[in-house]
Amino acid sequence: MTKSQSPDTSTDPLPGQPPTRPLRFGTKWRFEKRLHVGWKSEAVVLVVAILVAVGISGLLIMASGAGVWDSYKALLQGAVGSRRSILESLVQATPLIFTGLAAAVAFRAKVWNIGGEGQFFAGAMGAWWIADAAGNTLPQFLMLPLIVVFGAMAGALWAGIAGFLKARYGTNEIIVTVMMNFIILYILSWLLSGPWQAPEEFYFQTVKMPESTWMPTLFADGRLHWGFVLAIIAAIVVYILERKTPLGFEIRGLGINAVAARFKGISVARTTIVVMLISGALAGMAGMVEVSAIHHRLQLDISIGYGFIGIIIALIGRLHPAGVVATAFAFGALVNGATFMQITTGTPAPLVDVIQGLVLITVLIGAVVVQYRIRRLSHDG
Amino acid sequence: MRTRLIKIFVLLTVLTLFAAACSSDGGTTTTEATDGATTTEATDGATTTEATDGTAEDGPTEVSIGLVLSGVKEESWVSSMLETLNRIQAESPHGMTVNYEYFESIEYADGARVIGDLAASGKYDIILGHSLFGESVAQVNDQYPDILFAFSGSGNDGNSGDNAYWIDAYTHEAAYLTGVIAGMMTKTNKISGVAAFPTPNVNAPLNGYIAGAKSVNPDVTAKVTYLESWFDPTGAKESATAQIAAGSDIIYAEREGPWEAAKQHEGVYVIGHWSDESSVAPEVILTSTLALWDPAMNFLIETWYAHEAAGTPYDAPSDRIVYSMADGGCDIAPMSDLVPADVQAKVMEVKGEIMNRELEIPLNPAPIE
Repeated sequence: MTKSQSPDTSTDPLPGQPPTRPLRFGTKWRFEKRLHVGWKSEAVVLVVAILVAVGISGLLIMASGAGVWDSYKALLQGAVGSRRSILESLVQATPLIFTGLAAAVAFRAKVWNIGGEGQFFAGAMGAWWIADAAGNTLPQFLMLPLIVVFGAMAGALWAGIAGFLKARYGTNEIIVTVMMNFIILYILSWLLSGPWQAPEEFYFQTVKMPESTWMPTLFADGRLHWGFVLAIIAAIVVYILERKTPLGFEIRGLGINAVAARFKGISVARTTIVVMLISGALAGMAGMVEVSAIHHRLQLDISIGYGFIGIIIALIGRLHPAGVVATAFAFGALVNGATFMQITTGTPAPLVDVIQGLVLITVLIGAVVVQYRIRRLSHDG
Repeated sequence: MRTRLIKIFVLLTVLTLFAAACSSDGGTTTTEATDGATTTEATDGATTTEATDGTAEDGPTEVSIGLVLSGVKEESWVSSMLETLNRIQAESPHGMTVNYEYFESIEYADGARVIGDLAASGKYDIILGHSLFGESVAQVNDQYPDILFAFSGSGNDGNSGDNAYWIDAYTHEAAYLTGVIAGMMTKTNKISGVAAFPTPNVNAPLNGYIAGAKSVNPDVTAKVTYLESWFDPTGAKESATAQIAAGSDIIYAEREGPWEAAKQHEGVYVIGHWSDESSVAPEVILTSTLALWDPAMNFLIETWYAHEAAGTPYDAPSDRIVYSMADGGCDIAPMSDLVPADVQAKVMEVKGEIMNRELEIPLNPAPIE
């Protein structure tokens, strides 16, 4: 753990595996790295990690004075206990799948896109803009694909700026993407207080989009919309892209060892930009579905932090599209069940935020722990 | 591997910081949600009233209200509603037990889902979105025709009608009275306000306050800072500091925070808004404009009661339900001793005129330059 391992990944040519020096405690025990981690150990660690998080959250529920068992039961019931709640959990999961995929794709290439939140808003703005500009002139079957494309493009462009800066000037993408989250919000704030503000209104919001631009719902009951189907398709596309295409090979190569990738003839700069564009497009689609399927207008608070939660989801999902979808659904269900838990047991709904954070911490700790083992040394000088 | 892990942890740190900075729900709202103490109080009221009031026997004996709040209960906008509900609990209309539960820090993006959850639980007779939840109510109310839905404030495209009611509190008349205090007490003839957004419900009391000040002191000039946030105490303090630097010595605190600036400056006073803020900074707060939701909430409870007991169909007006000061829709909090006796007397005199409907304070929703 040398100090030279700075968070700055841009100038660091990512040397291969640093030599591991075994950690010793006492003279009899050694903490050493496993050569291979099987999926069984990973699964066990994941389950244990989640149980630990649930256990710690249980202590918090006890501290808040409610019944632990009742609270968890209500949480589960509110999340998946009825048709209505399952549909609503999927509605909650939809933007999280997109932002989770966005983070996962970028992190796979070790491109640290923390700008999912900003790209979410860029996508929302792109979608609203085209809906407002062309919504009354084009028929619905043309309008909806156009909204999807504009949402994705706007997100991709916003992320592409950071990708370009990194590829061209070696700028640290963590800092740039984080800063750009703020920039887009201030741009939106300005647009909503002036050019895009609904006339005769004092609120910072646009007019409602014409109904022909609303993403249709899947079922007559509930709010589940076609955006969910898009999200699942996106997950499959990302999987195929990463595993079955030359570009996916380059992306993974960049993530595993950028130097080796360069020697292999992969253009690091080009791949970085492409990764950022894909990542931004996915995050932009999250904003697009929220605007076109749920809110039908732009406001400053259409996101409850989807871009940031997406990062957590990508990490818990181990950057795998299926893991992202599963984690996104779990998180959506948690959020959805929280209100029901508070209604029936009085356990405060914000506890769910704590559970999410705890799961992240325990899963990450588990991911580290599983890579090591403690070995007893029989005779050690 | 280590490199990757270090990076993940660095990332986590960044993430935690930004999650904390960017999530507006405060995260620390894990306080108790249900109000046990007030429920028992209401039960007492119910038993005594039932004994005396024999006519209530056919109607419901209990009403449950679910409150969806955009902020936390400490915000004066929220506490004005909670104080109203506490009073109604004590009054116990029709001898009923009045229960309410509230859900804090619900974001606009989450409104329809939370209101839908409340309705689906079947636990609440009346569901009130206490803020910009008009659209959220509109997405839900058709599916639950027996629940009375309501939203409060400026409405925001909410479509009231059928079982969706729109209530509001106009406070410009009470704010006019606070303006009388400001006009008589200012030494610099400069007064100011620190407010949220230039929306009608924000502008109207500020215009009332300025009109009140000018009615007793035509030399007064007024400036208003819009924070462009519903809750930003730090920004409010900074804005108030700037107003003080510009010579203002009475500040209308439409949002929380300006008293922190006033405390640091001699001879600068603050007027609170929505509910009685005097306990926060008694050394600088002269009085507060009070939004009284009591008549509106009583109307909703009566409407629900008629629906339950006699089957009267819900038929919400398309416009907001709002009450004037004379009808109990607003008032000012008891004035602090910092307000001289002659000023207090003048305020009570003007208040009498408004209550007798001799003096009419025009509603002026225009933004203040």
